[in-house]
Amino acid sequence: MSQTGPECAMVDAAGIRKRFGTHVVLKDVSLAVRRGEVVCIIGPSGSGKSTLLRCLNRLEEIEAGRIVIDGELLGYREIDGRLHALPERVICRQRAAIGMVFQRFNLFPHLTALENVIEALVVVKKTPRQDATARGRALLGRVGLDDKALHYPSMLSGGQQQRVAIARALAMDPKLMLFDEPTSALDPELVGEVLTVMRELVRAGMTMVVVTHEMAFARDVADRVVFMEAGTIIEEGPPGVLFATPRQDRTRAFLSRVA
Amino acid sequence: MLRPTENAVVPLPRSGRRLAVAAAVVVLAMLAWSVATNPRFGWDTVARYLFAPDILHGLWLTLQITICAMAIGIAGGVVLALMRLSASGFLRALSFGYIWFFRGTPVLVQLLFWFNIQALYPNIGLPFGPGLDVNALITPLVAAIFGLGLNEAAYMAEITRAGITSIDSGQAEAAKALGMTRAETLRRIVLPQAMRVIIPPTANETISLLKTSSIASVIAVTELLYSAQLIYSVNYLTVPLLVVASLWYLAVTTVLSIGQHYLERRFSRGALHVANRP
Repeated sequence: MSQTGPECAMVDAAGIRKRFGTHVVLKDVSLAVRRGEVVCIIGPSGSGKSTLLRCLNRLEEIEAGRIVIDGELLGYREIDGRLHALPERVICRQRAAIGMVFQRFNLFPHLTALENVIEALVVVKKTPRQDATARGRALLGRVGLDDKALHYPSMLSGGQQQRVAIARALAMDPKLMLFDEPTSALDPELVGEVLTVMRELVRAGMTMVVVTHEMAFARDVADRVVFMEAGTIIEEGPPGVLFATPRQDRTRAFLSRVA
Repeated sequence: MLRPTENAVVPLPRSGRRLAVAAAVVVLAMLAWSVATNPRFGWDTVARYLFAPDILHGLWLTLQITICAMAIGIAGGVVLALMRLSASGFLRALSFGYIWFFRGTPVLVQLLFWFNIQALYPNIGLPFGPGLDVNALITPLVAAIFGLGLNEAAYMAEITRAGITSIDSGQAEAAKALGMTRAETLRRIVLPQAMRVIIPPTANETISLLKTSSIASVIAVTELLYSAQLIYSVNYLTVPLLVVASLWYLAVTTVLSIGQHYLERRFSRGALHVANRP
């Protein structure tokens, strides 16, 4: 049932429907992401792009459709054509393999930068504290913050906090990274340092889905750009094509507003 | 020190403040003089009874009731708070009903109720199993501990719930996204942060419970105040013995306040004002 390999998609989401109350946020959205691919999702606020991202690691439960991550059905087990909900432990294991970076960083304020990075290693993966610490320090080095290991989040700038958050997600050795508007809460002069770290991840071959307003970043690093509006995918394609010659009027209208 | 200029700075005169301080000092001195010299305070009697065996035994019972009842209150409060925040409507209603009942009836009535429980259930035990004599099981001390503890749980439930809901939902989301279970998220991420909000009112509750424990005297538990009352009912040295009891309550409250200070410091890790300390 589960197959892996380069030909298998990392993300295969089909027919995703999600409602908040009576408001339908996602209308049968389908999205496939290949291994090693970088997909940027753009669109006006309220278009459902963040919700789609949050469905991919089951922070939101979907009402219809199915999500397959690396050949494994997310949240359910299929037996004789029926979907059986998985126990919490298994869902947590599935989530642990998907890194997520939030718009508001969501660092744990009662833990130092290093403790933030290693907390899940110790609690979830039961890594011995010493090994986790070594790995945590290496990851902080990778995001350029080796000297801030013992600082609490409140002592760090927004850009530094977001880099710690990226290191924290990377600590779990994810096969997929989700970024939910990672630079939207940052002062303009701090955006660059976070994008630099993300570019480095792209170079390292990480599979990434990025919800972003940074059009230059999307144009630069994305293999594919997805434009969403009102709960549906309007258009998708390589950045060179989508930004230069959008086929849909709504894409053109949006791009002319943000450009 | 910061100075607006390099010139000498003359502060505004504070004559009103100085006058108020002087007046307060005079009043306090008069009060202290009267307390020290009024023979009816009976300071020699206070000294004689401060470490009397009956008083110390009463203090010991008071401490037992306070510690055990607060332990029940905290454990019960956490469980009730989690039920209140649960997705299950039944658990939410159950918790709500408990809090409604225990906050809604006087703690004195609850205490008397536990004391007289054998009137309702003379025997408890599994059907057909060996029974237990309730009269022997529920001693006045046990009745006091359960009565005050179960009552306290209702208040602690609300304090704990307030603490948990004060934590930004992004914290639990980040923990979830890292693969933590709900229990791990609560224990490692949410509760340690909620403690900052929970500790001050919990210290209040503990100090309040310490003093409320004196109502155990109505069910014949010879705790601190009742011990003092038993002595002055014989020798009529009412004021000195009330002073003795008060001094002990003050002493225990002082120890609790110091404990609160250190607990608060421990759980404010990462908060800006502490983090910036060298």
